[in-house]
Amino acid sequence: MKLLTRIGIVSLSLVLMQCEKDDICAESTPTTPSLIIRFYDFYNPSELKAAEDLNVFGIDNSGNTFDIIGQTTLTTDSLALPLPTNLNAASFRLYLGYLDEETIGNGDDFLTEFQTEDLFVSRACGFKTFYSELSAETQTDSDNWILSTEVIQTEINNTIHAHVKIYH
Amino acid sequence: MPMSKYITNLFLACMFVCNGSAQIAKDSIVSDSLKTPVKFGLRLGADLTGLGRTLFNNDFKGFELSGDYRLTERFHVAGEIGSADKTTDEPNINFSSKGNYLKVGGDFNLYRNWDGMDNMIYAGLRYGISRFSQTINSYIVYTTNQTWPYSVNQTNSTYAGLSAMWLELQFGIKVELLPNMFGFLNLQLKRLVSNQSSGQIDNLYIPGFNRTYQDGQIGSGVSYGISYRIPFYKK
Repeated sequence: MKLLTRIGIVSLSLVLMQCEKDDICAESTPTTPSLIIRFYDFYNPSELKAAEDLNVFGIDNSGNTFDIIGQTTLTTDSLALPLPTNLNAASFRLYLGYLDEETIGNGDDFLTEFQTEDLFVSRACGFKTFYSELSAETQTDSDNWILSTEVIQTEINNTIHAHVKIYH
Repeated sequence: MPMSKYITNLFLACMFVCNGSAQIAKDSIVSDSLKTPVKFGLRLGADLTGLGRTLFNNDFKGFELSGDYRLTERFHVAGEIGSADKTTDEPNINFSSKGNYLKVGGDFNLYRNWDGMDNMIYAGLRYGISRFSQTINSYIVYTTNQTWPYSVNQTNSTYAGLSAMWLELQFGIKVELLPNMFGFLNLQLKRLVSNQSSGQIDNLYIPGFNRTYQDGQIGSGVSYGISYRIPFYKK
């Protein structure tokens, strides 16, 4: 009987130990990747060049903008943009020299197109979107600060490497 | 020599004791012939957990029948056959698993019954096999940044022809409530031996094995119900 009790306790703790991890999608799990942009110097294309006081908005179907990286400006040479998971195109407005709502600097519209495929991750995380056939361009306006755009990886399945280079 | 004499005495004493205990054992065998004979027969049972869930829970339809046959006083060959159709709703995924399973093995009674009683506190071993399909009903794409509008994706992708095999340890009781009528309860600890998924999606629930875990091969289960023994002969 003692043995039976002991086996019972060991079995129960084995079962309980297994429960935790699967119920919450761990932050370290690779899920839907963002689009990684790196900023380069147009006149010296091998050199990274930070975009100063950058602010980014998403543009929805009716042309309205919405916050996408939070209400902050960044000075950075690398930017991660979340893409929609149920559309095949996404537009962003990238402002350079955005100081506040009065002084918004120069805004350029950055347009992307892609194919999506949903891949199973796990019970807790569900699915993630895999993007392929990525294309990107900057809409020409009277005063572009983005001088050139180059897609260097058409498949987005991780956020380790950059997918798009923006020259300015 | 006192020492060797002591050893000889000890040896003789041991001989006497051993002989004595052998005599006692022989006596008990003799008295055994007066014991109430043990019934041998086929015991068939129905699981009530599955029945309850089928009646009161929209997410589950299924049943399990069990059977055992006494080979010796303490050992029974045993098995279960069942069917399950279960829909599981997780925060990011909703899926249905549907299939049949068979478990074959034996139960060993750890309990020494009093004369005339026929109860079991047993440990059992099973080999289980399940064939099933898994359908993804809906899912949400997981993103760490949900600034874009997102929606629940409705699908109906079914992955059929899935299979799994496992080894199962059972600990349970079978209690004779009325003559030949038993109530049973058992806990099951399972370990996958093989698990053939669709390649795209893990097998999240296996009929008979129950819920699976991402990084493990272990599963668990519980069953209770009633069974009836068709007596064949007494011995």
